[in-house]
Order: sequence, then structure tokens, then C-alpha cells
Amino acid sequence: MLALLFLTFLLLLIIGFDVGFSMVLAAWAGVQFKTERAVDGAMVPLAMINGVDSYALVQIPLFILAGELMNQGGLTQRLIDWSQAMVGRLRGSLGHVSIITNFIMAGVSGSAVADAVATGKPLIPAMKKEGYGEGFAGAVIAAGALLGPIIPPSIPMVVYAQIASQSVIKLFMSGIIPGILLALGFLVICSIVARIRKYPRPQPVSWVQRRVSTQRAAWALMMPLIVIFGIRFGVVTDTEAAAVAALYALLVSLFIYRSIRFTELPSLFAQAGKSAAVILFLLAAAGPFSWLVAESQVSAKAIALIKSISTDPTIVLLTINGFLLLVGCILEPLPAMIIFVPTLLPLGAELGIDPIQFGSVIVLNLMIGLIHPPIGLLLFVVSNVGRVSLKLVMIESLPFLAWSLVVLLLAILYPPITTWLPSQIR
Amino acid sequence: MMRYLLALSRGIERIIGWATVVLVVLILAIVSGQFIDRHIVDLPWDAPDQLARICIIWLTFLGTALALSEGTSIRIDLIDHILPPRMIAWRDRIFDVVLLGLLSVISIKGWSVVQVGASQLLLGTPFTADLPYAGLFVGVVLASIFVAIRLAGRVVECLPPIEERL
Repeated sequence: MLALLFLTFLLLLIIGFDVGFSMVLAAWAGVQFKTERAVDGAMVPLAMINGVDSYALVQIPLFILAGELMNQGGLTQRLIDWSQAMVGRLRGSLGHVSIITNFIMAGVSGSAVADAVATGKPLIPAMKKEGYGEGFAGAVIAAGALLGPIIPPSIPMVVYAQIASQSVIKLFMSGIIPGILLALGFLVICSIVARIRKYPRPQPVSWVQRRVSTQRAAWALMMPLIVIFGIRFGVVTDTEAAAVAALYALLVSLFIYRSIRFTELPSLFAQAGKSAAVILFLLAAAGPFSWLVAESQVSAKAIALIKSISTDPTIVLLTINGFLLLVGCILEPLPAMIIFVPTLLPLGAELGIDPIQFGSVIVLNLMIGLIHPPIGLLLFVVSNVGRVSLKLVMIESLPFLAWSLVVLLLAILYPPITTWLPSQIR
Repeated sequence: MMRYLLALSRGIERIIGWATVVLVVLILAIVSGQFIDRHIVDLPWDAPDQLARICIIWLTFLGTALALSEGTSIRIDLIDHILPPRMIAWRDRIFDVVLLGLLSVISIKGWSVVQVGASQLLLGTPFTADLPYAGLFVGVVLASIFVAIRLAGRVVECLPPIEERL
């Protein structure tokens, strides 16, 4: 009966009922239909509260706020200018600028959509003006923004850590090497495409111009360093790093760059709060839903099914990833994570898969869903922001998607890619 | 009538919007304060993490009410482009009825959770657990108001003009 409820929940999702409330509704119905060891209905609101009653979650609104302040406060624009000066006369340099800017921003914001909007707005029109294909312009921004939730800080990793009771800092560190591999591959793809299509070379940039743009962007460039090194060397906790990033962006925008007025702050804070609440509610809904997953024995059935294929951890990880890539075709990453991670966690534990590798690979996999058709969220965002054809963006994103899948495969087959850096933290 | 209901909805949205701002500022202040407390100067508080958790719970449920009102909550629109507009309109009305029922049940059960929380102290703070629990109750009640007004609007839209009904 409870397994049937689980299927009803999936049906509700597909026909368009709110994701969070679908989970709550399914759990509520589960409580009503449970005949053995009856549970009081108050369990549902209590489990919802417990789902978000965690100090680690304060990072979510704070990192979103830091990203909002960076974008509105002009820090992002300075990073773009700096990347342009550094890339210099490379053919098709705006593609490289997009990747490098997103790589640096990923060290602060942790949100792919925010990064795509912030870099897409100025760079897509600039690329179109330079004669780049509009599909390529959109695709390169989408690929760059994919780095946001993989390189620390990462909101999906905070969410995973909460669901799986793992160390946020270790998960953050596990994303660094895959993030660097992704960025390097994306840069190579940009170079190859630029060479084949003979994209223009920009005007030469003098060393004086480079020094000036570095000075202009110095405060913005320091931000990811403060966050990542602050966490790595224990000066700040992961949670405090979020507050430091937000405060830093606030102070720099208000008093150094003077790009934000005090009167603009309430709307920025409100926006950050609203965006965070949408994510946090999924975690609240995951509270009672996890109970339903456990009671309905969905995990046990999934484990039995996957173990019937193989008990080799690598093959199991490959199977899970194949399944999650399919899930990514119809579900956005965070709901997918919240729905399926509680089901898959016992399997990983049973087969002795390192929980950090497991988490990192799952996050990487679901984030790839952001750029794969048919519902890759980033493809829609860049198509909308840059007013470019969605079909063209989808086609041009294929090389980036292919490289992302290669990195995912490497992370599955060679665990140190995700486990070596976390193992350096005590 | 609908005009007054929509004005009420907008008024509540504005209040929740400001409450969201206050909560984010409080979270930022508390977490920054913890850093200051650890590295610079001792601050007179025992459990800042507990305070931040109260804020997060309130932010979650007030923000959810706001997201429902503004239509920014997460849903999958896989079949939206397949269904005809008339069917989508009926589906949305049915969803609102189901959601209203669910929210009503959660608010009733949520209130009993608040009452239980009144007797549980939150260590290191002057508060009891009913304060964070009330975040869910208030958020769900406000969400119910938004959904009820939205449903009323959708029902009015589907009715033929008053002259035809007469």
C-alpha cells in the first residue's frame, strides 16, 4: 500500500503538483493508511520542522545573499573585466572569459542559476556582437554556471550533507578537483570551437591595462580565496564562511565600490530570503517523506533490484548514475536529490562506498542534469537571459555535456578525485 | 469582493516580505556574531546556533507562503505544454482544493505541536520550543489564506458573467 503511495507521489509530480507539497501529501496519506504501529498525524508537521532545524542550513540564505550582493554590487562585472584582460588575445576569448569568471564566482555563490544570470546578461550580447554563434554563446555560459554548485561553497552539497549526515566541509573539498577538471575541459572546448569557426581575436591588452583591471577587481578576487582558505585552514567554520562572504560582499559594495545604496538592501535581502525558503521547504518536506520511503520499503526494493545486477561497488555506482541521469531528464537536481538520496544511501553504505565519494558523485551527476535536455534548467535560463534559441543552445551544449560525463565517469572509476582532498582534513 | 481579497493578499505579502528581510538580517548578525565571539570579543549569549535555527524555521515557512503566493515554488511543468488551457485551468483548481485541504490539516496538527512545544525549554535561550514550532503554524495558515484567495479568483474566472447566470 505504501509503495503504491510512493508511485502516486511520482504521478502527482509529473502532472505538475508542487514538488514539496507532493512529498508532504504522500507522507500524510501514508500516515492515514498505516494500519500496523499507527502513527499520529502530528508526526508530519513535526518531521517538517525537524527537516530544517539544523544550524548548517543557515549557509543556504547566506551564500545566496553573497551571490546576490556580488551581482548587484558590480563585483561580478569587475571579475568579467579582469578575466578579459587576463585571457588577452586568445581566439574566441569571450568563451574563456565566461568559464574563468564563473570559476571564480563559483568560489562564493554556490548557485548555478544566479551565476548564469549574472554572467549571461553582459557576456551573451557581447559574444553575439563579436560574431560568435548565439547557441555557442548560451551554451558556454550554461557550462560555466554548472561549476557554481560543484566548486565550494555549494548549496546542493549542504543539502546532501544534511540528508546524509555527512561533513559539509569534506563534501565542499570533494568538489574542487572535479570542478577544476570540468573548467579545464570547458576551456579546451572553447579553444577548439573558436579555432574551427575562426572566432575573432580581441585587441591586444597591455600589461598596464592588466594591472589596472587587477587593481579594480582585487576586492572581488579576494572573496573566493577568503571563503575557501578560511574554511580549509579552520579560521572560519563552513557556516561562518557564508556569513563572512555575505558581509564582505556587502561592505565592499556599500563602502568601497559604492555600487549599492542602502535603500536597495531590503529588496536584496528579501530576494535572498525567498530563494532560500524555496530550497529549505524541500528539505522540510523531505522530513516526513523520508519516513514514507523507509516505511514503504522502497529502499530495500531498490537495493535488491540493483544488487541483482551486481554487488561490485563500481558497477553499482555506474548503475545508480545511469539511473540518476535519466531522473535528471525529468526532475530538477534538488528535488531529485531529496527524493532519491534517502533511498540510495543505505545501498552505498551496504556496499562500502565512501560516503563522500558517493555524495560528490551524486551532486556532480544531478548538476549535469542542469545542462542536459530536455529540462536542463541552465539551458532555459541562458536562452531566456540572452534571448537565444533554446534549440541552438541545446545543440551547442553537447560537447560541454560530453566532457561533464567524462569527468563524472572519472570520479566514479577513480575515487581519489573526490576523496583525496577531503582526506587531508582532520 | 475579489478586489478586497487581492488587496488583503498583497498586504500580507508585503508584511511577510519585510519579515523575511528581518530574518535574513538576524541570521547574518547571529552567524557573524558567532565569528566575533570566537575570535575577537566574548558576546553575552549562550546558544547563538539555537537562535539561528529558530530564524531558519521561520524563514522556511514564511518564505514558502510567499513562494506559493507569487507562484515561485518548485513544480515540474512536463505536461503543461501538452494539455489544452481549459484542462490546465481545471487541474490548477483541483490542485488548489487539494492543497487547501492539506494545509488545513497541517495547520491543525501543527497547532497541537505548538502546544506540546510550550513545555519544552530551548537550552541557552529564554524561549520554549513553541517559538520555532509556531513558524510552521503561521506559515501554513498564511499559505492557506493565499491559496484560498487564489482559488476564489480561479473559480470566479470560470463562472460566466453575472448577466448570463441570471
